[in-house]
Amino acid sequence: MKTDLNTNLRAIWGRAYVRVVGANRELSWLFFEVTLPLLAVFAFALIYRGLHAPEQYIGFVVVSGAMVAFWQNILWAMAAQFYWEKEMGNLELYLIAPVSRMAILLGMAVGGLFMTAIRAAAILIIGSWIFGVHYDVGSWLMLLVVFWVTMGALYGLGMLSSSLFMLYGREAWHTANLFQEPVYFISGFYFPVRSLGSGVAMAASLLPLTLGLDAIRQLLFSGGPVNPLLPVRTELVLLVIAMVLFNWAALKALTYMERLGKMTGRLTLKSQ
Amino acid sequence: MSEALEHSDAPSRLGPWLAAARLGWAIESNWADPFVFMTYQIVRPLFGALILVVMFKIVTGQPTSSAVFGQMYVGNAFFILVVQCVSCIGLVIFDDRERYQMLRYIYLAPIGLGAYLAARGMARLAATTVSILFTLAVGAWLFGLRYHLSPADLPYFSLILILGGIATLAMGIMLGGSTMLMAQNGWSMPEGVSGVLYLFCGAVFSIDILPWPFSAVARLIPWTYWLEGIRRSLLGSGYVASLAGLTNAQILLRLGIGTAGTVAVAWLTLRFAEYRAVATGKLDEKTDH
Repeated sequence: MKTDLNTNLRAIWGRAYVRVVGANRELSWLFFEVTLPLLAVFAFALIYRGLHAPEQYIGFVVVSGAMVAFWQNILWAMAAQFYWEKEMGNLELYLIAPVSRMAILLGMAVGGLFMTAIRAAAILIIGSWIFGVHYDVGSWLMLLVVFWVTMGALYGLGMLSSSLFMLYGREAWHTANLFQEPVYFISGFYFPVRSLGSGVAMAASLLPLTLGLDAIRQLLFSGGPVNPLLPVRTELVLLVIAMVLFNWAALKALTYMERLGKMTGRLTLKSQ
Repeated sequence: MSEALEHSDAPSRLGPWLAAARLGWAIESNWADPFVFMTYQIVRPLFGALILVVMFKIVTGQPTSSAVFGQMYVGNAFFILVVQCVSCIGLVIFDDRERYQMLRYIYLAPIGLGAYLAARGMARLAATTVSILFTLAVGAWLFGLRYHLSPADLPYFSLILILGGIATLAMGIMLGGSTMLMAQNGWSMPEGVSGVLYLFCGAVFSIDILPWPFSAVARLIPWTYWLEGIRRSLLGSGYVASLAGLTNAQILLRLGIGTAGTVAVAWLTLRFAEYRAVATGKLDEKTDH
């Protein structure tokens, strides 16, 4: 069934609305979603202070705190979202709605990006203020381009994961948990990723987060040594490729997993 | 029925408690295969420790067998217990009230909410113990840490562990109890509290670098003394310079007082929350959509 563009756009807005407007109505969520990553920022910044590390490392931690918010959103509100929807009984409603499945995913992504951007900005501002982080931005334009391309690639990965998670049962919870500390480690959230060695760092570059974070750090702290993985322009090209690839793969995976789910009878099977 | 309960023997009293612990294990592991669950349980803390390793190496350039790294590593490894238990018990009420909608039946059961929450936490405590042991073993195997636990230190170390475990369970019960009066959107609160404790108890950095009044708070909570006692037992020396003047017995005494205080506050919080939840009808009020 073909649906006109207007209906799909309305579906995107409808799904995004919950996160753009609804999620900001509950102020306790906002509080905790800003506070929890901030606590991690404080802890890691104090470790660096305790070790008498260069102040730039504390800046790394603050920037990473903001990026953690995006990664958490992708894990729990994108990748695992269809699992929650299945548990709550909403997934079948999405599937019978006369809209593209990608419209639903795009709505989730757009809403999630907006919702998280507010939280990430708060983390960045508060963290920078408390620890007196000094930024030396090389190019604001490049910084904005790199940020948005990173988000495009990350949310593409989120949509792809969402399709894969659709058929997951209870293990979705554990799997999402598993992609926290290990990803923080291999993506170099709290240290320059190159410290892991070039081989590991290049392998970690399969995650757009690794390249995006490295490029953003290079652009935010251009005045000092940041031990970069690759030049920013190279990272940007790789991020663009990742963005296209992940979004295309998400579209294919969604169609395939939906068909597989129907064939195996697991699409709307709860508590499996 | 109450008379029968009052005269019940020990095994039958233990029965509901064991059932709650078994339920805790099933829910916590999400009914996964124990091996798969333990793999998940081990991987996260291990990578958390690896982050510390890299941070330490790139800044100091010292070998991981150095004393400072050992203090950080051991503190981080044992703090897993606090994170896991507090988060687990703190979410029990939300799970049972909102998701499984069983809280009203649990309330009616003869076990009592406090014992039920503790039993649920025991399952997580058992699983977390394996994570800690594994993380410590990796520390010795890969990073050259040397633990100096002599047989003479064993009673002290055991007491420290037990008191810290009790304080942690009590904190979990306090948070779990207080969630009876909260809507389900307070689910982040237990994680937030464990994050605050991580900052204040000096799990990975000395509390001496905390500004006042945070450093004063750090000296009030039992986990600061718990970790200091563990470090002294396992590594032969403490981490916090300002606590160096305290003897092992004084550390134990402060931990004991802190634990007693935490248990008392937890008990009062639970009783008050239970009373208010029943009186206002919040006990089985479903607050999600």
